[in-house]
Amino acid sequence: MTPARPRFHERVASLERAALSIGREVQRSVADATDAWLRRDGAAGAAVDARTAGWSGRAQDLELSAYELLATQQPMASDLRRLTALVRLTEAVARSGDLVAHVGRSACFERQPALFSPALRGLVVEMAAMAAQLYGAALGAYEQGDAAAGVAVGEADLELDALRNELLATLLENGVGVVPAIDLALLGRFYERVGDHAADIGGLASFVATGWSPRAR
Amino acid sequence: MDFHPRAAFDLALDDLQSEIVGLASLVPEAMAAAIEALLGADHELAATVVGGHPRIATAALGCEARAYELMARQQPTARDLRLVTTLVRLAHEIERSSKLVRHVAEFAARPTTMVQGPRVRGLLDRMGEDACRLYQGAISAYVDRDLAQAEALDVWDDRMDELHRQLLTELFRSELPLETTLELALIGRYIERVADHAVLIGDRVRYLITGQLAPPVAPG
Repeated sequence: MTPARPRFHERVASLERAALSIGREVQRSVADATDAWLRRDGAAGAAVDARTAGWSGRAQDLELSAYELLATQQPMASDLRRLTALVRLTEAVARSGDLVAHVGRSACFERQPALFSPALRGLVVEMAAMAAQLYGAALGAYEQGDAAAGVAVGEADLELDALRNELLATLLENGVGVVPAIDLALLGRFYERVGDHAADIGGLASFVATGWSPRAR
Repeated sequence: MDFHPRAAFDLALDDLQSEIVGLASLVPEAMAAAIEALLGADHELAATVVGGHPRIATAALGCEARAYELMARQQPTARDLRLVTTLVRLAHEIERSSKLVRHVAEFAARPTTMVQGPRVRGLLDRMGEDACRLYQGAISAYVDRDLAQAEALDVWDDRMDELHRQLLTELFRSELPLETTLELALIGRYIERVADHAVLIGDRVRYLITGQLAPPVAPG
């Protein structure tokens, strides 16, 4: 083995760590954004929103570094997979960061907190917690190179989709006003998308480890 | 025998490029059909759009794989590398956009999704039209390597956001059944997101031309 290879692996690993650390920040921000949204705390929401520019900027730098490695190192087989997955990972963490920021941003829309009943708030908190948990599990699977754990995130994501349907059904059954119903239907969509990104990241973990990924669902 | 691997690379790159441009142009086509199905309650047309998504998604993923193969097999120059990586991202955007259009068509195929009221109909119609125009604008910015066009997409997208706000305002006082109202709110969101993806394509065109990645845009 040429001495260049270990350096290559070190560099990839360091880019991966940096991308996963953006992911961890996004994961932690899900609860902050949700809390701000439910309390209609515009300032707290704006603080979460402000994080996204940094996440996107760092993700873009990592993406460009990955391309540089692709160009200069001409990786093959599993090394190539690792880099292509890394590009996808940077995209996933940046997009999910945008989603979380958007939840924070919509915390400043004028609404009476009383519009949202305890049952609905409970469902929102549950969705947020599940989205964050799936997201964390996906990052963990990627970090550990654990294909089975990565694929399992995709399966668990179906539960989040079910929870979102439950939210929609609750909105329809309980005579909720049209304004909070629209707000919550759109909010539910954001958690669903965070869950989708978690499933994608889990799929990438599997792709890196085995070359197979449960994509294009 | 005169064989230039370089020429083979260029040829493969050209092929890939035309396939991706072709795929991208299927997105506004499908979007226009989805909106037509939605406004005309044409469930058959809606089902055709839904059924068309897997082919677009599979082809987009295939393009992504080919792009990476090209990178791996042939050490591209800085300029070619920029092009190949742009193609990778375009393939992602196409896959996502096609999925969003499918969501619109899925709603259009449901009997509960009735678009009533001239204001709401008009807004959805204009949003659909603008989304198609933005997407076509993004494609021609790419094909023509037109930086000004790529940057103009942001301005068009502001108008889309405004239409989306108007739609929500309209829906907030809607007297339609709640289920229908929620479906229309989500449809509005999906159309707006397709426009966001057009802007993201514009950002990639800017990167292709200038080497600069764009500032962050709206969420998705």
